[in-house]
Amino acid sequence: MQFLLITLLATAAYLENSFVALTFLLRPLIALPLLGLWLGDFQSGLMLALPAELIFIDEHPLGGHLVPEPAPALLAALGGSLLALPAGAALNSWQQLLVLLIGLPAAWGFARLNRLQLLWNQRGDAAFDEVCRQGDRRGYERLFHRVLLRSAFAGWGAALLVTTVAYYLQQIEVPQWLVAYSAALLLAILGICVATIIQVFYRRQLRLQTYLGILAGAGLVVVMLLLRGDLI
Amino acid sequence: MILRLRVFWRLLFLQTAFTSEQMQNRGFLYALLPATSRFNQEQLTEFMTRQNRFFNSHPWMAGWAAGLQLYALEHDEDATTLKETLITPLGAIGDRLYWRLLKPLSALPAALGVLAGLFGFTTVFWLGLGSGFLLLNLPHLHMRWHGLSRSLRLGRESLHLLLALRDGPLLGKLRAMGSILLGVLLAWLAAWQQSNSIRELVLLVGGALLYAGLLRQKLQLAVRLLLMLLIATCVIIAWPGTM
Repeated sequence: MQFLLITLLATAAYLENSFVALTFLLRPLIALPLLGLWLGDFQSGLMLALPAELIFIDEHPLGGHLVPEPAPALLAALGGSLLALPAGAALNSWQQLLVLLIGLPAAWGFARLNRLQLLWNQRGDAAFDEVCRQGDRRGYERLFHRVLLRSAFAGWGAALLVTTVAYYLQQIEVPQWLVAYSAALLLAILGICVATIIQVFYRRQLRLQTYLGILAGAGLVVVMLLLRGDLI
Repeated sequence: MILRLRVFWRLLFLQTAFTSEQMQNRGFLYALLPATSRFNQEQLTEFMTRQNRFFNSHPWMAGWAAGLQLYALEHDEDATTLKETLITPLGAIGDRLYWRLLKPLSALPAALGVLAGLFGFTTVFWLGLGSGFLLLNLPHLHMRWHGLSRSLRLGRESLHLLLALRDGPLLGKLRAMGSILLGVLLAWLAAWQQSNSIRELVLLVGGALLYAGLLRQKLQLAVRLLLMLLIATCVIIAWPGTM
């Protein structure tokens, strides 16, 4: 049941991020911690949300360019992984890394799926033209709804695949040293995210503001540490 | 009002039947169809044949074009060329405003919230997440509705409002805000790593350097060697057992 719900959530994310609405309610930065909260592993949701969103922050769908879809891919991968664990357990760093290793290629896979949808849409073009020539309003709406439904089914199939792969791959036992190393690798990936987001804003040469922000951030961190009682 | 709401709702599905030939036009025509409910068959055929042509813009800015088409329908004008003319400015303004600016900008507070969550502050986490979400969605929903209703009411006059958006001071201010938030994020990330160990900070920087090296492939040999040296240092320091 939960398996089905997770695939449906990933499908919704797929549709939402590329076809419908684009409100980004289901973008990874927001949806992944919430999924983690739901399935009982909040920390992993937080830990994976940063790379999932920030690594693709520089990919814009400009002029019909098809971008990777981290939201459905990571939602499916994290959901499948958390289902593979015994109830209440948290992912260790190897398992977190595995979610990324499944999810990031799957994000590009979803972009390929979008290209496929484009081909299918192209094939249905003649039908649309015919309906327009006849002035058939109902027929046009029916064709349109069919395209929407087909996109949903394709996305659901892909989400099902990713979830299943994650579910079975997480059950493989790994040696302890791999767990130790994957914590380091996760940090390196986080470093890549930081470089991406710096690249987005720093190019604009607003250095003064960035330094001001660093000062403000440092002040905030000091306040937080004081609040938590680490400094005194 | 009902018509406006229906068009607004259907514009959400703008990108559904995206093809490389007509791009967003399938969804655009789908959004315009509620306006044709009182047409006879001949008018409908004429309208649909006329609208069956290329259209593409930014998905959140398409409301301006749709509103202008509806205005032309009401006042019996031919706005087919206007539809084509609008493609470039709407796309350019929308892409700059939303993809290049608002999307990364709204990701920053949410990322700060997530980092605060890793620090253990749940309230700040919810605040950051919520403000990131609202920062993206309030302007974008407002723009969708505002564009549709203004252009429906004012017709071609509404294009002045659109241009004011491009030339106004809004973009610069948002950029400055983004830079400040970026600084806060950097300081916060560094502090989060520092609280664990120096090794992890080094790894973070190493990943960033690696990525920068991959991006700038036309670097001079000396710079590339320096980057590789830095990455190697990072790996050595971060190797379990060295520190």
